Parts: sequence; structure tokens; C-alpha cells
Amino acid sequence: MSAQVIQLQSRFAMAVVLSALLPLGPKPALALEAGHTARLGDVIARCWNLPLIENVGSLTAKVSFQLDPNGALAGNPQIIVSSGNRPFDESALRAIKKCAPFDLPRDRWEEWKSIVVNFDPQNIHQ
Amino acid sequence: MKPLIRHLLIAASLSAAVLGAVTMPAHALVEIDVNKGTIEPLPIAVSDFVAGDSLGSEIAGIVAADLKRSGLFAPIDKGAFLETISNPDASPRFEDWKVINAQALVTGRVSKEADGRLKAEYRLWDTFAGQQLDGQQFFANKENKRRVAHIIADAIYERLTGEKGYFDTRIVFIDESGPKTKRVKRLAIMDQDGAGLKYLSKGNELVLTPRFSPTRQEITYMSYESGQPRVYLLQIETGQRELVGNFPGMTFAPRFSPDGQEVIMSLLRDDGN
Repeated sequence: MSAQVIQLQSRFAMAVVLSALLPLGPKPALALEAGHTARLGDVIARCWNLPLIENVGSLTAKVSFQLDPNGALAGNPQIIVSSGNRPFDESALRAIKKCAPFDLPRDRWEEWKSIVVNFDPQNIHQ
Repeated sequence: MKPLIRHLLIAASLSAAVLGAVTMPAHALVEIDVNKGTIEPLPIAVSDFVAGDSLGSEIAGIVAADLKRSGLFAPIDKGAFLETISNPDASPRFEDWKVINAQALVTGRVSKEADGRLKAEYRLWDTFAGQQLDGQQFFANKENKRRVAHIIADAIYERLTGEKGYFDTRIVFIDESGPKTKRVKRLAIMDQDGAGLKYLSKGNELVLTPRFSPTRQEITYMSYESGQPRVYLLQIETGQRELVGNFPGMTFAPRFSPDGQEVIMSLLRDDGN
């Protein structure tokens, strides 16, 4: 019984590893046009409560998240590059969660279903 | 755990780890820069601590006032709360708090131990992440209930801003009263939120320039009670006082050394130096 299970397990693991490494179809030539991404940036900026820490201008974090065709979050946003400051990272995640769902053209979901945001507060506005 | 289930779980977690490592950055087609945010006090809800008496709302009130006074937090009015917390350990209904715009929530409990001491516990929740960020419990004598509230406020402040809190501190100052022609100056101490005001001198002598020791519950200050300005060292808890040095001439502007072990002052000798 256990020998069969081990064979099953390793085939499953191999299938998973292979699918992760193979490219999933051709990459679309054009990402969302500039107008949409600029607007998205402004929308997220309005949801972002900057933590009031002294060196906040020198911190940056990268957050990745997936959206469903309705613009709602599919799963949780993730920190992919941490600022090294926990409250800063958490404020960025909170901004994404607060802003969702996003208003984006449904017919082009393939282009915006996965987004990465660079939180880099050079211009802090009141 | 049955061997079959365990093997499947291991395979699943292995595949999840591999997917996690490879998928994310490779698939993102849209990369956005957010170079600005809003600097606004963080909206936070501090719900009354569950207690058998008014102590629960008193502690919550001190915590909320501390956070508000720092300028970095905007506690939401209790009247706007949708959910009433009856069990501070259970996950709150996060939607009820998100909808009133709270980005963080504090729940807690105050209870009396068998030996008469207070036990105060709090939990700090991230409403948008839907999880607990922090939680601690403290034991204290009843007289120290305000200090416990300040310590909780410090912990919340530090967890959400990354900076050390200052709410569990006291201020030593010269209190002035009376008409302009007959000012009364008294050495005084109070909590940073203005509570617990105590006078440390009687008001019949001129007192100046108090300084806290960085390491001990001591104050150094100048007083003219002996006719000449002299520097004194005062123990806050016992009220014991001693003259610092016995130098001819006048002594001014006392300060503590950074390690709190010495008092530094200026001397004006009779020869004018």
C-alpha cells in the first residue's frame, strides 16, 4: 500500500513542478494602456494611509495581487519585496485590500489580472 | 495521521512552495508605481474592555485618548460601533469594523485576580487583513490602572507605527500661580496626559530648571530657599531630598549625566568665575 502511495505522490509532485516551470502560453504583446495604469495608481494612492514614521520617504515595498474578472481580489495581496519595516509593509497591503474591487475593463481581464505595485512615497501629499 | 493523508499533504505543501517561488513575478503584466499616499491619522476603534464595572470603559478611554493625542491616530466614536464586543478573545466581525472605516481594532478585558491585583489584557486586530496583530496581558495593583492603560497604548502605538511609545511617562515642571506681583512657583509632576498632578515643593521658595534622571526616579532642580541658588536631588517616591555638593558661591543649571550617575552643574565662584 505505501509503495503505491509513494509512486502516486512523486508523480503528482513531478507534474506540479513541470507545470510551474513551463510557460503558460504566449505573453500578450501589450499590457494595459497608460491611462488605466495611471488612474489605478491614483486610486491606490488615495487608499494608502502612510504610516507616520520618520524615514518613510526612504522606504519602498513591492506588493503583488491577483484580480478576478470583476476586479475583486482573488486571494490575498503579497509582499514580494519588503521595505524592512513591518508597519510600512502592512500599510501597503491594507491599501490594496481597502481599494478593492477595482474598476477595470472586463473584456481585457487577461491583461490586468495580475498586478505588481511599487509603494515608493517620494511625493507625500496631505 | 494516516500515512496516505500525510503523503498527500506533504506533496501539496511541496507543490505550493514551488508554485509560490516561481509564479508571482513572472506573471505580472501590470506594474504600477504609487509615489504618494495620504498622511492622515490612522482610523482605529478602541472598544470598551470587557469588565465587571466601569474600569473597562475607563481603560479603553485612556488608551483612545493617548492614541488621539499623539496626532497619529483617529479613534472612532463609540456611538458608531456596529458590533458590541462581549468576548475579546474571539475574532470580531471584521466587516462591521471595516464598514465604519476602522483599519485597526482594539479589544480587551479587565478582571480582578484572587490576590486583589488587576489583570488587563488586550488584542490588536487588523480589520482589512482579518487577523490579530498583537496581544498581551498585564498584572498590576489597582492604583496603577492608568499606567497599565498607558503601557497598552504604548504597545499599540509601537506595533502600528514602528516607533517607541511615550505614553507611560511623566513630566516634571514648574507650576506657576498667583498674581503677577506675587507669583508662586512650585515643583510639580504629572502623567503626560495631565493626570496624577502632584506638587513636590511648598511654594514658599523660588524653584527652577527641574530635570528628570534618565535612569532613576529622581529629579534635580535649583532652589533659592537658602538665600543662594543651590542644586538639590529629590527622590520622587520617598520625597527625600539632599543638597548636591556644598560649593561656595552659587550653583546653577543642574543636569544629569546620560547614565544618571552624576549631576552636572555650573558654579559661580566668589571670584566671578
